[in-house]
Amino acid sequence: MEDLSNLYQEVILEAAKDAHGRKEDLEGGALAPSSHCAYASGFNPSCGDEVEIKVETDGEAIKEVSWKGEGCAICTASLSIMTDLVEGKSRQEALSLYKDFLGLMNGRGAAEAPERLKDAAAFKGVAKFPMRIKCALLGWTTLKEALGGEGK
Amino acid sequence: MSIRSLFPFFLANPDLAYLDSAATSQKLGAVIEKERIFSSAFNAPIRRSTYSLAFEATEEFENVRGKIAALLGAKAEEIVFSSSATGAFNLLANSLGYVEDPQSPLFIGEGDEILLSRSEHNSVLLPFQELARRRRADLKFLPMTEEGEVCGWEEAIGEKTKIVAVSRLSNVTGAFAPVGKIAKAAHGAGALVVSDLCQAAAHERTDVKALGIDFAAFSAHKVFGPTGLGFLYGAKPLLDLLPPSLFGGGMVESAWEGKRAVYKKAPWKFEAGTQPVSQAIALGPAIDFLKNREHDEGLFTRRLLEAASIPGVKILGPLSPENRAPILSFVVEGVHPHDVAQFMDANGIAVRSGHQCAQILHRAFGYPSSARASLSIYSEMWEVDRFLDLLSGVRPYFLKGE
Repeated sequence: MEDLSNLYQEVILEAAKDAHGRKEDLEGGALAPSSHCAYASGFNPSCGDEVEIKVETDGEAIKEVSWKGEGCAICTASLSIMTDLVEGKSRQEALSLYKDFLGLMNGRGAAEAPERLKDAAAFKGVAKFPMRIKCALLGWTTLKEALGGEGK
Repeated sequence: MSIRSLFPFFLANPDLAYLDSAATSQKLGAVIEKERIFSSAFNAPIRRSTYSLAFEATEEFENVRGKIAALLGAKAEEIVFSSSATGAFNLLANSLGYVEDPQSPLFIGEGDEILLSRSEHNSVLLPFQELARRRRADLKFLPMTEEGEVCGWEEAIGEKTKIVAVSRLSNVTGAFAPVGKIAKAAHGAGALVVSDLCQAAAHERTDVKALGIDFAAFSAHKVFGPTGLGFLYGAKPLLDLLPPSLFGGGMVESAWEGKRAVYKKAPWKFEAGTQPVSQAIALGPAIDFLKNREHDEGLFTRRLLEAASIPGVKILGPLSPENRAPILSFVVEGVHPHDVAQFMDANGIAVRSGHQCAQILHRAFGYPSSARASLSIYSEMWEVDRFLDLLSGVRPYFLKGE
């Protein structure tokens, strides 16, 4: 059970239950990418989990992140904590947080989380469960794609 | 001596509740030993050379073909070796795609229908979907009950139906399908019957002739044998008519510069390239074991079904233990199957989570994925007890405070 609480930190279980940014419906969504609205969808073929992310921007600043999808506790909590982290940041800052988070996941549990990852540091334990890393990353990689594809 | 002691895996993992036998079974010690002995002392090519060691290897290999045939109530010439059940279904669908004569009972043409149950594994669904696409045939699905049992075949099978594929035992619902009745209706309409026996082979003695199955497949690793080995059964007259779709050494009588090669008779015309020889020979003891087993799984199935009474647990499959094997797919409301499996893993239980290669069936049930506990002949009741105990703890752990 020690392993388990290492994976499912309290902050993760809480975020999974009360997921920030989750919407029943993404108004506009894929139909309305524009200079101030980016969109991407992500898919995890091993479990069939899907997520859609909509990012509303004001110039370089990320105003609001909303997402729709069903995932496991790790996936849902990661999306929620990511939403809190990147809202109000610039696009470059968000992409740099993505790189920090990716580094944490690829660290096999040995990497220390940079302070600016805040609650996302709780996913350090996930890195010791290789089968679950893609759950934690699904939201982040989809966000990265949305930000990269903005305005297209 | 307990059955469990015949499986070395459990000596190495005495405290693990291994509830994923529907994905792969543990291997008999006699299988592991047979492969080791053959590979270390008797390894030789089959059907190619004349020295005694090669002859003996060939004989042993062909003996296993006979054993498998006997297990299914078929003749040795009706069994084709393949790399897996997936390999066998691909072989069948690809070969059907090579049939050129529109008069052949195996010909699938434009507007013909291929009818599948919604519980078909991707290894059946996808080869036939590709066949239908290439031949401009229609792929259709049989209706199912709320509990995921196949129904409505009388209405669904029509004169355009050329193939009806229904797995004998679903890897998700754990329900046996009435393949015999479906075959009667299919044959009445002139359609062929294909049945996936991957799960059934571990839980019953399927008699392909009694059920009227024309083509079937199963794999060795689900019946206590090695990986990399599967079988296609085909009724002799049909197998004779079916063209090969894999070409190379071992399947040809004579090859020429200026004219088409002459191929061997069935089943050998389907076995191009070096076969999984040591694996096949090693499977022999497992087939003997399957033939001689006496194992009533009813008690296990009934106990496993007690999961249905745990709050928030929904079973994907029939709730009645009749016509059912101890394979239980379920969802825990509010908790993702991956989290369920992780929770179980941390407590010494191996269960499957995901769509179990049956996405169509999961969509029909309205869930993208599920978790699954599946037993086999070596399962013990303490494993099910631990599973049920842990299952009651899933929602309190993940949804505490709600």
